[in-house]
Amino acid sequence: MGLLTDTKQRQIVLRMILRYHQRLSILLYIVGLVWFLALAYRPLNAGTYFSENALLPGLVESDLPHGFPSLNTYTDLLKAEISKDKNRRAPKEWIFKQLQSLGLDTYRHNFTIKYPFKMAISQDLNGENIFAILRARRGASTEALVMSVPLRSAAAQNQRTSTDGGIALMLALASQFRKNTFWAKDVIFLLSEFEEVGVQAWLDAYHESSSPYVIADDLPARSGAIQAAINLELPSENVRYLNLKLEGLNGQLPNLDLFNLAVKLSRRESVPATLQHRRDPHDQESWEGYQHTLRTMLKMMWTQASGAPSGNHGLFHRFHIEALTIEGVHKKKGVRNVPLEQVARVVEGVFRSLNNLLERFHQSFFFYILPSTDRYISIGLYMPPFALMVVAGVLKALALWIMTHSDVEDTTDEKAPQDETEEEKSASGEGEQGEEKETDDQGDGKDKPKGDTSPLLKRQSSGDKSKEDTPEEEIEEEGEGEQGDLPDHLTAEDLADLEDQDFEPIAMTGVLSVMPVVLMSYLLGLMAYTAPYVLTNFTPGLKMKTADVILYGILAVFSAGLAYPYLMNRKTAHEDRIVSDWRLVKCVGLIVQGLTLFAVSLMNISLAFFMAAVSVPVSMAVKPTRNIFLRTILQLALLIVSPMGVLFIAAVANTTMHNSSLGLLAVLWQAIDETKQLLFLLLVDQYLFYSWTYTLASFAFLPTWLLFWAVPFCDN
Amino acid sequence: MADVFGMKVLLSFALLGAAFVFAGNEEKVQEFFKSGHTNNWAVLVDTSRFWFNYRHVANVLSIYRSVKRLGIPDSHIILMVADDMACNPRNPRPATVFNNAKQHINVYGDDVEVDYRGYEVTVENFIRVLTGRLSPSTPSSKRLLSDERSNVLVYMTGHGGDGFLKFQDAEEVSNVELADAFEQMWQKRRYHEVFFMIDTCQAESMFQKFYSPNILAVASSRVGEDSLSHHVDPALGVYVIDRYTYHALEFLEGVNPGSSKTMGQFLQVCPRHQCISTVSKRTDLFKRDPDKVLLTDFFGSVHNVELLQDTIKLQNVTLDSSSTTCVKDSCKKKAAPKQTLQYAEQFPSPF
Repeated sequence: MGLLTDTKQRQIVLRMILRYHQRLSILLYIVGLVWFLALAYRPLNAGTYFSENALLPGLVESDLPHGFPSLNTYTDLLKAEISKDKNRRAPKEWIFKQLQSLGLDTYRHNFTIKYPFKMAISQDLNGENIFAILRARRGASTEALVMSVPLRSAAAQNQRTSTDGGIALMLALASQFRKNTFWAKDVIFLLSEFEEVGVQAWLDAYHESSSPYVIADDLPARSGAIQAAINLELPSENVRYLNLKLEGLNGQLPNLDLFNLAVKLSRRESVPATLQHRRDPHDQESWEGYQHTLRTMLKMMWTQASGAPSGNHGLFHRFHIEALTIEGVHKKKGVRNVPLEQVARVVEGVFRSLNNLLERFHQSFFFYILPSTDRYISIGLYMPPFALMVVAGVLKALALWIMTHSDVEDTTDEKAPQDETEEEKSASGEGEQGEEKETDDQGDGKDKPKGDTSPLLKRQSSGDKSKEDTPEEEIEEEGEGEQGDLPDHLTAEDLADLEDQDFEPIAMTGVLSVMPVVLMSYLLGLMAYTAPYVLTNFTPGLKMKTADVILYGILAVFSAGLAYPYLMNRKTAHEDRIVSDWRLVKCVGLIVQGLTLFAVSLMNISLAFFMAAVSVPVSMAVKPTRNIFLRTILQLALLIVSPMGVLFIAAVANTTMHNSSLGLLAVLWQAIDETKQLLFLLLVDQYLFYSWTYTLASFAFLPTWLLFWAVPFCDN
Repeated sequence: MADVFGMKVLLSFALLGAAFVFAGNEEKVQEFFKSGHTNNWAVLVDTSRFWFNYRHVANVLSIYRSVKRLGIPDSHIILMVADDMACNPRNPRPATVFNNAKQHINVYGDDVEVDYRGYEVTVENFIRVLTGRLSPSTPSSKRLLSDERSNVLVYMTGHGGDGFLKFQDAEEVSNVELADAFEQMWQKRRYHEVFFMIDTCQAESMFQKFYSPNILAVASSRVGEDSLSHHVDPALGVYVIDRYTYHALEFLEGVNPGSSKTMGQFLQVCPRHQCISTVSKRTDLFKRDPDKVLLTDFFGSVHNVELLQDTIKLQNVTLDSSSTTCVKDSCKKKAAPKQTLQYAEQFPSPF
């Protein structure tokens, strides 16, 4: 408290900030980044453990008969059924009859997908889920567990694993579970069509919520509150290992206990469990081990950052149902494959443990990152380094704020900004005099205890004057491109209103002076948000693919965003000109960026981390300069960290991840296609599943970035 | 009053009326009345619920089975079980509770009389049962109707910490409360001797605050130690019994009603290599030497029958030591002795 009330101490703090903020913020960022990445190193993270003692994992021995003959029977029957169908689709009718003949309450659930955009398929798509409820004989039917398997046709199986094994395993386990007397919760067997959409429809119907794009019929029957769900993606062959997929919608993760449970039980049945298809290294403390775990961690974060569910389990998280996908991976080569029977024992064990649950999962972590299957990084471990990274920007903002308000401060501080500027200059290798800080109104009527500051002040004020006189520096280097849009007019009016209050541009130092820029960038954000919907509504006649329309539409809005600093700086009457202090713009930008990143980090740490890692250094460095070379570099860096740029980088990364053998050009070419696909998927996720990623990008990341984009165009 | 009591002692222990005292029988008589109690009670408490605490229910039911086998009738056992494991839907063997993976004994077998079950097992009910402050409508099967000649076995199991024992996941009894409850019992003449046995983590802490006389206590672990479970039944998927109780039962199974095993031997049960925790005992409040106290003084209700040819002169144990002993006939002639014992008021009498 003393710091805030004692003016003397405050002066010291302010002076320290002004003097050291540059070095300090760079240091903070680097320390934060290194620390964050170092968390994958074994001694810095923690071993997983069970918090929920009700689970009693692995204490019970399997009830399945030796060899599990019914599994083989179902596998063969299913194969025969599939081969009867020309398209090799999963035989829904047959599955329905099988479940029914087991004596389970079996139902069909129909739903309709209305495509959000006027897409080539204008007709609605009808889907059908099948589900069966095994009622707990001695329980109260107030709680339920879900075992789900996506129904995939052979056509869709090119990219994804087939789920025939999952269906056979589900049927075999259903027949086994039916005989068991120990169920305290109902078990729901769900076979969903159209991947996540089917699950979404079923969950919506189960919880009586509705969606405008996935219209689900009412459920003919339901059970109690769903405690957990296990999604199975298993091929009909032997599997080499089980890959556990956790990442859900909007980066939500299941409770860590559920993951631990799956890992523990697969270990017990000696089926290797992996994360992101990567096994745990033997020696995690070695350098190789660290590299391995770091890569696993980054891969997991990469998946989580997208905000898209990595499997059917991802939709359950929306309803606070802990869920994960067990994906069996079959490798043709090698003999170390394990039979499906062992996988069945893993699944059985998981369900028996879940059956022991007395409350919802709540004991263990919901916010964590995993570097391997047996280590975890909790929110308490990853927040401090992340905070350091973001605080670097906020500290810079604080320093800028103090600089712009240095007239309020005691004048003994005057020395500090000058020092800082020199540092900046030396750091950037630039010696121009025009770079001086804009310390407005400082000259008038303040007594200066230090005599040696006066020459400096003179120089600064002369700098100010010269700036006032200098006409616009940035004249069209690039074509003004695609503008003349709506926002230009809108903002001009808005800005005029604001400007009326003050005719002396240089005197506008309050936060109010940057409001036009802020308003403008948020309007552009709104445009980006609505653009896909509006554009696809108006362009059905263009005979373009929807994905193309969306990509080009977004690009147009983005270009408008790129051009807006030009538009705002057009030569107008002197008193109408919008002159925003670049420091203030940057200061506001950094604060908004800090707020955004912290807010996002609480929902999706991976997204926040990647955004912080790329945008914080650029946003800290950005400033107006007359050096064309430097400015081009700055603008290029800004372009790379723009939401579009990040999306493109993500596309490039995805392309290289999938096929690493491509040349650079081929990668870039494919990345464009991938960008289109990513953008389209983001939007589909947004409309069908309420994914936030696109909304965040257009309302949080884009406006913040636009603020920084405006900075190089400001007067200096 | 007191001489009536003296007669009761006589009647219950020397039922065969024709008894004549001879000097040679003195030792036998001493032996016969050594313990000083006339009836036995047991309060057996499992304080924890939920399926994963199966072992605690198995613990308490095992002790119940043992004391019943050794002669304490259901009417003298207050059994408190906080959850119904036998009927838990998760139990693959409905209506049974086993304390061993080999399933030798179904401890929830025939004729189990649970007096307080489920949510009736609360700290308040427990303390009320001990101190006798139950509402008048409470049936006698749910009351601890002990008197100053009662030996009471109190067994508790559940989840505990340093200075407390958790009840039902919602409340706990502290060691101070428990000590005060025993003191109240003592002042109300509700016991002659108490054997307090507890199997929980940091169990020792529960008897550290005791200050009432005639209490012998044993606990499964020291402060700072955990009490561990013994083994899992893989068919059930739960731990079925705790280590201390397991080994205590092993010992008790070798005891029959006429056994001469002593409390001293029982206190040696479960050394550290078996329990992993250190079994802790408290003997300072107990006046007798545990090595000379029969195990059945607490775990059984043994009605000895000794056939003597002679009439013996019995000391009236309820009177002051100064007062002389008397035989059935001679007592009446004497003036009523000064009354030294009286019950404390329990409920304010309406009359």
